[in-house]
Amino acid sequence: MIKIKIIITALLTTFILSSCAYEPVKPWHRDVLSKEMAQLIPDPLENESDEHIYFSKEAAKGGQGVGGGGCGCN
Amino acid sequence: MQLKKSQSIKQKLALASSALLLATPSISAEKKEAKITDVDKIGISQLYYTEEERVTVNKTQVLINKEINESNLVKFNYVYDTMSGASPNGRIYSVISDDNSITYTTASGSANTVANNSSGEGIEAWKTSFEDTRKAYNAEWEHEFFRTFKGVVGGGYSTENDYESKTFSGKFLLDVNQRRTTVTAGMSVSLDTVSPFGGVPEGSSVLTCHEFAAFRPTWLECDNIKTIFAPGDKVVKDYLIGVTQVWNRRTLMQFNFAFSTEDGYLTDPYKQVSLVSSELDGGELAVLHEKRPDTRNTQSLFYKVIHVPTDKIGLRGSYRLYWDDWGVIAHTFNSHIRYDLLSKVYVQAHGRLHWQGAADFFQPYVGADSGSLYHSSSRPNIISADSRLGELANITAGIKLGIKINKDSNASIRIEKLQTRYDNKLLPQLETLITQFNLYFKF
Amino acid sequence: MASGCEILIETSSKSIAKKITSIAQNEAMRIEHKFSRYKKNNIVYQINSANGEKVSVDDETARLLDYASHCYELSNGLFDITSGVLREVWKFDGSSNIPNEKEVDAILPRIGWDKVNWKNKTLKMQPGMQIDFGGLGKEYAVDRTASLIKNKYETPALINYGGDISVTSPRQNGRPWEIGLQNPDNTQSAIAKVELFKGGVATSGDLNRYLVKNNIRYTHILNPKTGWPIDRAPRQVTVLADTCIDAGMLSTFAILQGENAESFLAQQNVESRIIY
Repeated sequence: MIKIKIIITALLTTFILSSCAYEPVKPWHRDVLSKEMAQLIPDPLENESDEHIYFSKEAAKGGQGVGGGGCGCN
Repeated sequence: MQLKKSQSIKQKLALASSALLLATPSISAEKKEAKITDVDKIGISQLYYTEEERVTVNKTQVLINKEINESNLVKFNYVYDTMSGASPNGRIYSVISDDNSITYTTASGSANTVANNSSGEGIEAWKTSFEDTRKAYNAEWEHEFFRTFKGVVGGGYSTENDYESKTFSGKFLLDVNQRRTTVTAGMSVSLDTVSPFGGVPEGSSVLTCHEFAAFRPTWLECDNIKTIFAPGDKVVKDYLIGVTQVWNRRTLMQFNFAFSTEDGYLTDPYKQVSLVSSELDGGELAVLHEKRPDTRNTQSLFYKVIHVPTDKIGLRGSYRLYWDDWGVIAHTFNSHIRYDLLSKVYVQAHGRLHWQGAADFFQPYVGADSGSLYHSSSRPNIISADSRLGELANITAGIKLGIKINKDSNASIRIEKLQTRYDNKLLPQLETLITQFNLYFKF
Repeated sequence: MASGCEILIETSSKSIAKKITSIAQNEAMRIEHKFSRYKKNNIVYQINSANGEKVSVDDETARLLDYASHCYELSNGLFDITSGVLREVWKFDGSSNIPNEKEVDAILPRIGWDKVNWKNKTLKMQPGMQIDFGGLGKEYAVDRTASLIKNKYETPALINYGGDISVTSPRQNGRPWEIGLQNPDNTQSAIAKVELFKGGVATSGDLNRYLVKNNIRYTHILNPKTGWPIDRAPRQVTVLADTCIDAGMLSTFAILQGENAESFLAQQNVESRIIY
């Protein structure tokens, strides 16, 4: 079952990647990605809250960063 | 020889030309502008979380980012939250009606009503009440060794009524490929101690045996109920390696692989497992403490993509595949769509879908009868009925409104609904409401 | 300045535009007058006709000489403001009149910043030596103008003196200035577009100043140690940097690297365009 899921993920990823062409970006073209809405974590307060909420309600953890610290909630 | 010198020629020229041009402070201010997110700021957040009026959490958070100089940034984070209510403890779900009858949900998911309150309890035993206050402190120091290489060290301390955690972390980020690619590697170590009231219970030992139960399996020791008076320690080590790639002018991607090891006391001292019997029509005859393994190894693959198709629309999507040696497999899809309504106002929709399979040792209960679905002929060694380790799906939908107050400050409010569905149908669907207010400003 | 000079100002106020233009004009003429080697009554003339005597210089000239000195060291002697005397034997008019070895060798003793005594705002050169700020004068003027404007006005402005460019800030609404890089083979069209938010752009190249003999192209950029053109030099190098003078110097350094221009610029981690 897990193998099938990995294959599906790989296919989806390939599809997403290929539908949006790779293009080496010049530094003077970094304007769009420097906007707040293009940041990986634009709102750290919201992100930290979500990470904590779902960590305390689910068996899965992590993926985005390290060093969050523990709690008695899981 | 020529090469070594070359690397710093640009910097040396810049130094020489700033002496020539009598560089004014405005030049270093430009350098600050070049860093978009790491700017001096304070963030304050207030969050309200309610689980169908059962659990209420009130959380206040403050974060402070301060640039010490061009290559050093410190971040502080403080969280204060109070939690109160009652949450499932792993015992079988029951509803007590006005006539004192109890309805249990059996293995097949059907309801089974027992005429009188034969468990002898007048409360909804499948929940445990609690009240807890947590304070967490975090600090991080980012140092830029040179323009393309940055190191971060951090430390954290969190304390609750019965739980304490100390964390140390470090990571570095390296820009390559003309700064289109960033490689990140990091690790953190957490030393946690749980000190439950009354001490740490011996795993899978008996909590209580109901007086009325006539039939008891031979392995059930109802006379020797003991609790170990010692704190439970655990060590968690997290590792992460990742690559962030500028895909094109409007698209950014991140790929992370993370893994962790946990060692020590990983059991939840408050979680229990019901021992049920057909003699009681599927009702509870005794309650055991849960016991989880002493180690846990987890892995996850994480992919995130950010796409800004027009100047007003921002899309963020991510997928995480998680698996561990407890047998849990989880898929998490998370997406945000942001639309700039006006130059100072945006709305954002959030959707999250999380599905997980049960841990190998998860059982909703233990069956005393030999024919029962979750039968055990001896005291189970490793067992948990904690629904968070069972098969479940979390579905979240939310909306957020953001306002830019001025050049240096913004505020937002979001409301989200989280629905938890349990596959084993032994627990009802749970609805949670989350409301959060955020305010960021420069100082 | 020997080339077209323009300034682009983004404002709806006529009076601000006028004031900014006059700042630029005044500064350009001041620098031209003070540092041009063609004038007969400025500090450069004094230095070049000192005939071995010491000359005291003012603060600004001192800073320029310090900068030239740094560039001499950073380039391992390939950038040398005393190398201008080579123009006595090299005339880059597109013809095939290359000098012979003897003629070039005769000039070499009169070249070399290491032969200059530059200390405590006093300059002493051997007779026969000349200094020439041509390699950095224009870029210096561009940067000076940009900072004079920035100190007084928040108006976005772009200064372009013959292809050496600096901007005071991004345009209104944070948009960049769009600059086309000229195609050396077809000066009417552009081969690339650059978006500049801050800093400067400079181009070094031989466009029309070269010699060709026996199918070998001799660029006008000469190696001061040998007196001969840089071997296998790119025809045009454009660099973006935080200031126009940095951009200009990096592009000059790049050309001085000859066929290693590309890897030199890659190591500097700057944005650039090279045409061979």
